[in-house]
Amino acid sequence: MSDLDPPLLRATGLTVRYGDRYGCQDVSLTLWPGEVLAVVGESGSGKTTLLRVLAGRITPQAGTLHYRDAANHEYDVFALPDAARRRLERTEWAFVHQNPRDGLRMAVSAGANTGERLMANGVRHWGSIRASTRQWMERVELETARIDESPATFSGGMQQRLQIARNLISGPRLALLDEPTSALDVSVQARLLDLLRGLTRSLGLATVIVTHDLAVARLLAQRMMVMKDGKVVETGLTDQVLDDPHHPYTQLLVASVPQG
Amino acid sequence: MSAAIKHADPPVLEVNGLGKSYQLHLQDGLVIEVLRDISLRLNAGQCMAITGPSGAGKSTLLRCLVGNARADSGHIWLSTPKGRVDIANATERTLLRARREAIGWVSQFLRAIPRVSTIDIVTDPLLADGIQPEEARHRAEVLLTRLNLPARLWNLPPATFSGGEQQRVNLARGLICPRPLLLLDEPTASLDFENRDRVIELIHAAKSAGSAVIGIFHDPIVRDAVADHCLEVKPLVC
Repeated sequence: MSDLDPPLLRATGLTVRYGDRYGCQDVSLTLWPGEVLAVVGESGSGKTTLLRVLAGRITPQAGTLHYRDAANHEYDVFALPDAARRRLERTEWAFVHQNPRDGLRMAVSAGANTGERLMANGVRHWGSIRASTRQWMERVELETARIDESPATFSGGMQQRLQIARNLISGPRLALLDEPTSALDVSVQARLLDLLRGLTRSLGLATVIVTHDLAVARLLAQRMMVMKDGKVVETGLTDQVLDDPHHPYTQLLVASVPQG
Repeated sequence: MSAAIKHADPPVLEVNGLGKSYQLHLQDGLVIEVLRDISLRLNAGQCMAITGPSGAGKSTLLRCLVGNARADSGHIWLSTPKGRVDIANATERTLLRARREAIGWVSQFLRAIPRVSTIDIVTDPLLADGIQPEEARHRAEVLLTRLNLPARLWNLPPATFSGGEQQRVNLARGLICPRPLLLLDEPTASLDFENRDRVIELIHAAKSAGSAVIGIFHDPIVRDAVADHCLEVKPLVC
């Protein structure tokens, strides 16, 4: 592993304007396979906008985004035809929403939610879809006995784990996580964090995780980016940014966390 | 390895003109200069003790060496299996690799991860090195036994352990894989005499295996037992 290895994701100068306001401004980042990057900042700092740009869901007014797929082919994401982008979305990318209801289909069963990507990717054997579904429910610590139940009957933590299973079943290489733990109780959070930590490592998933929780970033991410008013104000290894913050805003952020 | 050959080898660690200040933006931008023009060389098998009064910058120096505190000036050349890396100026990715391959780091306090057991914390660096899980577990058990950590604690997360128990988990994690450079921040601070002697033995073993060791040892008995030379960090007058 060196800086010469080809990165998975390369973004330069990403800029999104909402009227005369910036969603994100001149953001560049590079992500290699297996790396976890945390994007931190307060509400309105542009974290989620950036994540949606990286997912190809918002086309920025300026900037480029390149993604290298499993076959080592590099794509200009914003120049991709819709069909090709959607193929990447359901095969190589995972997007986990803060609110699991935004990422799940609440009208169908847990099993159907989990298996949907496999069906969309052309797996036709019902038995093997069912088997993978069970396997992934176990992997995210959900009772397989509840495979035919609606996610509406699940707790928030269970729904979030179901959303993760639904996304990871197709073996994606890039995961984009939007505040995946912030809607959960502290004890449920710890369990989900432990799960995410295990999954990103065992699957070698390159991950961008948006969070306002510095402890979550410390636990999951090797690298960190601090955003304020749409701009990146500081980058570094997670422990560098948290233990030796340079920017006034980062210092304020770190100083605002109660020491426990 | 003969002494002559050893001498000709490049040092494991070579620091030139290291400087570090902290700017405190929440205190009207107050700048505190902590380190100025620090230089040192450390060869394989040697141990250097960083000395100096409290607040002189000993921990900051150690943290600069692992790239946790970011140096403002100077170079920190570290010999890694893939060549020399300047920790003070490396890219994030190169620094991550250099840490993983070439540095063992025992901080003063263990940062416990919820739900992760002691044995998993200690085997983690071995697994990252590609050691098979069974072998990794065996080595971790041997080391934890050597450090007198009771077997009944191995499957528990260390969050509820005593200070001394946590310190030994931290030591086990830092010492489990042989690395060219071993950084120790007060490794015996919370330990009783018997465990302190075990740690001294382990540091000797790391030196014999070829690690360069640099650390802060407040306990003069430990310092005298392990250190070949001292580097005094003097407080800067602001």
